[in-house]
Amino acid sequence: MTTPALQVTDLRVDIPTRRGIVEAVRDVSFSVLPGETFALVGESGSGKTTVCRALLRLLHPPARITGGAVRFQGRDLLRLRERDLEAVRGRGIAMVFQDPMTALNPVLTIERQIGEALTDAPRDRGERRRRLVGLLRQVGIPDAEHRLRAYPHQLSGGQRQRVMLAVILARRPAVLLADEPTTALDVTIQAQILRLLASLQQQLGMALVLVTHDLGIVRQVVHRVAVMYAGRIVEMAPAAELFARPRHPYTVGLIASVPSMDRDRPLVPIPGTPPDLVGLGEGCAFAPRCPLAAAECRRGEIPLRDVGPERLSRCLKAELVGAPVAV
Amino acid sequence: MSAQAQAAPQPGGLVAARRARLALPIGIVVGGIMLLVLTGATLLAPVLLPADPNAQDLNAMLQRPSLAHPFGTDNYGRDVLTRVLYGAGIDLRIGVLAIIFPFVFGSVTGAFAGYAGGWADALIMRAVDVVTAIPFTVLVIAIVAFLGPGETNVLIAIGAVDWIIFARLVRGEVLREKNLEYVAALRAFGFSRWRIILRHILPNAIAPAVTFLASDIVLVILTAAALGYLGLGVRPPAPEWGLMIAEGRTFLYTAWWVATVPGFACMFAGIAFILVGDGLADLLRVRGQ
Amino acid sequence: MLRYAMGRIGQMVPIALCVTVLIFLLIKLVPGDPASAILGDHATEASVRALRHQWGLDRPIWQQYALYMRNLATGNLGQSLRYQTPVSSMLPRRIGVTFFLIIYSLVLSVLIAVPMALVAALCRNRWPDYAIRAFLALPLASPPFWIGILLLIVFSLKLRLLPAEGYGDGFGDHLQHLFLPALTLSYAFASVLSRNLRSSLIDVLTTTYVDFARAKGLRGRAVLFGHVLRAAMLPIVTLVGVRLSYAIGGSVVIETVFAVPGLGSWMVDSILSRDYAVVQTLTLMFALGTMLINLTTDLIYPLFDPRVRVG
Repeated sequence: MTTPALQVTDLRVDIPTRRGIVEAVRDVSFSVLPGETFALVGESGSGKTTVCRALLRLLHPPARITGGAVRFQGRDLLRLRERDLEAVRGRGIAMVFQDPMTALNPVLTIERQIGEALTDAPRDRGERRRRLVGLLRQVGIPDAEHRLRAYPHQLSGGQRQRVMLAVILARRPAVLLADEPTTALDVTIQAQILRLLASLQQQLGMALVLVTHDLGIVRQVVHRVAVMYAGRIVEMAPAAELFARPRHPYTVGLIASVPSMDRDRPLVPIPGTPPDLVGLGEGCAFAPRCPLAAAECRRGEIPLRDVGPERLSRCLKAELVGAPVAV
Repeated sequence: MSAQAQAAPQPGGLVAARRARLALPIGIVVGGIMLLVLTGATLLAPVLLPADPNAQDLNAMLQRPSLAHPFGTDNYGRDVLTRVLYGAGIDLRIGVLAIIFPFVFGSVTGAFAGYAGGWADALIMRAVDVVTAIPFTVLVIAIVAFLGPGETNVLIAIGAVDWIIFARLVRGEVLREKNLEYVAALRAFGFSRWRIILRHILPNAIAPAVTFLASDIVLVILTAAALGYLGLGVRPPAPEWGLMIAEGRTFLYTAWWVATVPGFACMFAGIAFILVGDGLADLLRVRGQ
Repeated sequence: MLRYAMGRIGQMVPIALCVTVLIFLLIKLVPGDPASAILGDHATEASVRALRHQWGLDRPIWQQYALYMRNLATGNLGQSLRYQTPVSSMLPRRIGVTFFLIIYSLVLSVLIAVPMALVAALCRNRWPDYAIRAFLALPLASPPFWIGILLLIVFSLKLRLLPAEGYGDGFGDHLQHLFLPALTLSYAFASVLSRNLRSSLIDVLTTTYVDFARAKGLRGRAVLFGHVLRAAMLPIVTLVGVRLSYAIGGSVVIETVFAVPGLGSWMVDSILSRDYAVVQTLTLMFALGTMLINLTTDLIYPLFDPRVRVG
């Protein structure tokens, strides 16, 4: 059994608001092996981005981590001093963000923003520039010398995303957290970025945690998936099996609501709306929208249980969940 | 199991009940109280302190603060406390009177400029630019310089310059408002331009101007005090705060209280208005959500 | 860049002309006849008429304006009645003094405002934030000249640390003499600066690019100074331009309090001695100074924000 590169246990995040405490993340546990691609899937508001930020303690106040552990290289990141955590960020675990438009500082040059990420920056300025040009070329940015001196607003969205990946390359982390890395990009560019991510993974032996709501990506490149709903993981499985035989009604709904090119297949949205995360109460959070919901689904804590080899589900009726319509 | 579940309170409800909130932000309460104290002092001064603020007592010049004179006396033997309280009336009066014209004229002009656009807007904005090119205090001082000192002239000078702030504010709001749906509907109904501006757009666009009123009063009071200090404002022997500070300037080393007490009074008034203004801004912002 | 600058200057010219008209018209505000007002009650009719003729007051108004502009253009700024010297000879030194004061107070403001805004933004909604905001809110409500007097009492009279008035000789002397007036001016300006910088810092601290900078593993200080401060300065540059004009207005009174021989105190002297022509000229100087500052701010801004740079 290989040691996981990253192991998250019982993560909890609260966000105090005027109306009450938002339970943004509850009892989230998963682990990622080196070189593996792990996806966190869910709608907006499911807590997947919050999990990512919590792993590196990059939450914005008033959100706070109220429980759990994040084990990386033998230490619990949640209990490290800020100084020691800064050493882990970037070098051990790195993160790329969703919107390339806003993820780069508009008043600093590309050279500066990648340069400051070089782990062993050469003293000589010329040597450093050569390294940076090399990095830009590796992520597929043409005309690298000129791009170095440019500012973020002078590059396209896809190029900016590549710059972020160049930063990752400079840092060579063991784990990469990618928060919706392709959502803000055109479809054609998405594929390129995904290929780039895959090649980076191979080069560096990186584990990749991919946060996304796009099931199409999940099918293509991911090994294992965790589906999140209302701050909790509701199902976890190897990707192929998740699509072949989902074990949670929400997963079924999610797969079914993906539009397909087949015109005869109707768009089937999930009825109802996501729940208010303040005062969720007991029982399954998905129950109000679930076709299989029964009385026992609305009571008590629903645990995440084994429903097969390497498969977990938070549904009491997991065995009853049918196969979805073929996508 | 079910009995236990029913006994456990809903977290959401519990949180809501525990948070007892003040109906108003604390700032507005404190500021409001301060304002009440001020107005009370102004209105009641003639009753509480029947002594004439200008009564001179040459036997008691420049006396330190004591029981008889809590804030001491000035170089004419006049009681400083009495003068400061009467001075409140003067500066507050100027503050409130001086903003009426700028608020009304500025808001209407700004609204018209924003709505009409075209050359009317360009003309008004050029006028605003020209007046803005000269620093506020300098222009007010210059106008009073030519008109001559006195309370009326101070009001005129401030009125002539202060309106541009409101014009800019309201124009910005109107520019935003006029693209909204309801304006198009009103125009389709054939309402006249002025009617639309005055009765429909202006009430919606006026909020930032109203919140700015409190800060503007402070600005006016400070400017009036500055003019008083320079000898260009209210004429002596009126107990205007700025004037009192100027009169006390000569005796700073020996009788510092003459110059410092009126300033504290001014600061008190300023803080009161700022607190009320900020509190009002918070209230309006929350309501608007 | 040059074209942008030319464009801005071109915009300014008509406004500057209108300003001269406005200032020219100021003298019409004088109730009664300005010439007799200046010469006093005992002036003879002949001398009044002579003065009126010298100023062109006996000619139609547009000719008066033309005369006024011609004088300005040729540098004939008249004589100061109070000091009996040509205005144009007094002007450079006086402008220099006021300029020194303004720049000095600007520097002090930045030195006060930046650390305070940083602390307030980083300790947002905790007690250091409230303490700083309260401390800096006081000058917004108080007459600046009164604060100057308080500082005078404490530092000059009681503690005898600094001179109470004047300008001194030599750069070091200037720094000493102008410290209290510059500090007075800067207190109010620092208050506004700090409030806006704090707001700007809070905005920047929650941006994605700061998150990314932290996610790269940059140390806290590197993030703060390299990223946060650089980005937060942007709105401040424009702010300085706008508020500086109000600060200049404040300098008029402050110069009087501290007897600083600059433009402001000259203006007050001239007003008190009914030297109307000088008052007009000085008002014009202030206006031109303000417009110049606004122009400089506009031209400097692209240095800070690469997004608006052309080419």
